Amino acid sequence: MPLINEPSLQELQEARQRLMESIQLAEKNGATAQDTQVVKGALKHIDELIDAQST
Amino acid sequence: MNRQTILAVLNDDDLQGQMVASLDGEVSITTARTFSRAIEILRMSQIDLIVSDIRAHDDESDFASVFDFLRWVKGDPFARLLPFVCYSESPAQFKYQTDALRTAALALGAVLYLEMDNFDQSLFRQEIDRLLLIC
Repeated sequence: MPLINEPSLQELQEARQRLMESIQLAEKNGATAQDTQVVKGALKHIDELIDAQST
Repeated sequence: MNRQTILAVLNDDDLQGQMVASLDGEVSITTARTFSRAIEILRMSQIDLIVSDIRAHDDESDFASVFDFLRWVKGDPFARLLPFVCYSESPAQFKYQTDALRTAALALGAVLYLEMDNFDQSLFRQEIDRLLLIC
């Protein structure tokens, strides 16, 4: 699914890094699955775009 | 000139009321409680800008989060050019997520990630007006 302005691989990897840090911090602080649902929803799409650009 | 129309996707009735009040008069605002309803509206109506609450959810469709809806919009040939604003009113315990969500939203095609502690009608109106000028 192409976007209008495709983000660079570097931008996607930066977004992924921040999302992962956010999830780790949340889990460390006892967050529930619901608390991290939005972040994980973003991560799924960022990973898809990284995969698409890497292949 | 025709009034421009905003589609707002919000689960929260209070927030919906505040957004409608902040934009009343100058622009037309259409609201949807679910992403599936938002897609129906996009198919039937002339929309100039989309605003979605970052924590909106839709239990009746495959769109589990705002990011599923954002990707759908940016992949749809008729909707992909519409400016998409993510709105976030985060409780204190979610503040650490803001930076990550903003970075992800912009990477996935949102034009603006608008974060507020509490809904600020004046600031919201100002940001929406700015975006509608360049639509």
